[in-house]
Order: sequence, then structure tokens, then C-alpha cells
Amino acid sequence: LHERTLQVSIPRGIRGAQQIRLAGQGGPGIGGGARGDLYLEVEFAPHPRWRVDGRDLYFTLRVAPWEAALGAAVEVPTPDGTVEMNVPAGSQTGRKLRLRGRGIPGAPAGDFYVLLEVVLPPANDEKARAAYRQMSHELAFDPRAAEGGDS
Amino acid sequence: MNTEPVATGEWLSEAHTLELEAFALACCTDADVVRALVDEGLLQPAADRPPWHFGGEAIARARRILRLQRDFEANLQSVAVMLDLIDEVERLRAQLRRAGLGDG
Repeated sequence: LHERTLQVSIPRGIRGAQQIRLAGQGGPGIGGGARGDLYLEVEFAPHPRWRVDGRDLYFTLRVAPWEAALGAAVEVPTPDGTVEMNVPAGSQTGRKLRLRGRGIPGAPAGDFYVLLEVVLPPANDEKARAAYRQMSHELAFDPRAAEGGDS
Repeated sequence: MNTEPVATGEWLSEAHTLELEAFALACCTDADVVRALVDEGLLQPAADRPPWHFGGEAIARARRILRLQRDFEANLQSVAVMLDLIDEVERLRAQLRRAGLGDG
């Protein structure tokens, strides 16, 4: 057995656990037989931004509370480039938005899912603390109101 | 190590099916073993009616079954239980990954 390095082109749209067959690149045949084939199994390396599930991609989008509450147009990075997307008003953390057909290409193409994560501005100066205090005074909001209840 | 020009392989997608003999060869086994796996419900041919064809994705599964069988000297019923557990773990991992909580 000797080691060789092969440059292999990856077909567009291939997914995890799928195989590529390289004919005649396997081990030599026994008794002068034809060389065997080499099978490669594809596994995606983790990506810092996108997560893959079958043919779908997942992306966590961090939004400010006012973007989630009031709605906003935001830019989302997809493998095909940046896409402008509307965050609907009244969104919460965990809301899932779909960009159809923006996942792994193919027939059918996968979808690109955007998971919203509302991120609070830090209350590390007086101005921010005042804004939070004003919200607490003016909004009758109890995040635990529904807990244990039947509403 | 020497580097060769770019090799273009065949993508064994679910659309690219192999007939029984070729599939068995790709799984480093023979057709009788593949028949036994189908009879036990561990492998699903792409079409129910003969002649059987198998999607490229079934190769990894068949190889895994044969590896489990060999490594643990297990019968096919035990392998079926192991596969169910592996599938369940994979399903849960996928759920974590979608939520951004997985290990990648």
C-alpha cells in the first residue's frame, strides 16, 4: 500500500453521508486483476456561521429588541450572497423564518432557515439604565405572567 | 506523495442507483448478504419490485451494518437495535445542530 494524494472535484449539491466513486482509484486487483474503485464518503466540516441538516441550512440571526418588536429589514449572509429579509414585527427569540430554496442546491433545493435571537443592549451606562427603567414604568409587562397558567 | 490532476468521480446520489451485484461490490460483500439485509428490513431497495436497485446513500448504511455485525459478532436482530439507537442519536444531534447547540 502506498499513499497518494488525489485532487477530487466535489459535485455541486452533494450532501453529507453521500458517496463519490472514483473508478479505478482503489487498491490493485489480486493476480493482475483490474484496480478496485475508491469510495469517498462526504461529511461537512462545521461552519462557523451555517449549520447543515440534510439539504437545509440554519443560521442564527441576532436582532435588537426593537427590530424584533417593531419589525426590520435586515441583511442575511447566505452561501449565494447577502439576502435582504424582513423580520416581522412582534418576533421573539426562536422564531424561524424560511428563505425557500436558499439551502444546498439540487432538485429540490434545500431551504435556508433563519432563527432569530433577540439580544439585549447592555445596561452598562446611565443612559441605557434610564431607558430600561422607562420601559419598566411604561410597559405593563410580566414575562412570567403566562407561567403555570392556562393562557 | 505525488499530486495528480483533479479527479472527477461519480456522485452516488439517491438518483444514481446501483443494481444488486454492483451495490454488493460497493459494500465489499456479496449479493446474498445484501438480500439478507433487505429481508431483515435493515436495507430498503430504491424500488420494491425486482430487479432491485439501491441508492448511493444506502452504501454507507450497508457498510455500517456489516461493520457492526463483524465487530460485535452480532446477529442481524441485534444490529437492527443498534441501528435504531444510532439513528435516534443522529436525529437528536440534528435537532441540537439546528438549534445551534450542537458540536457542529
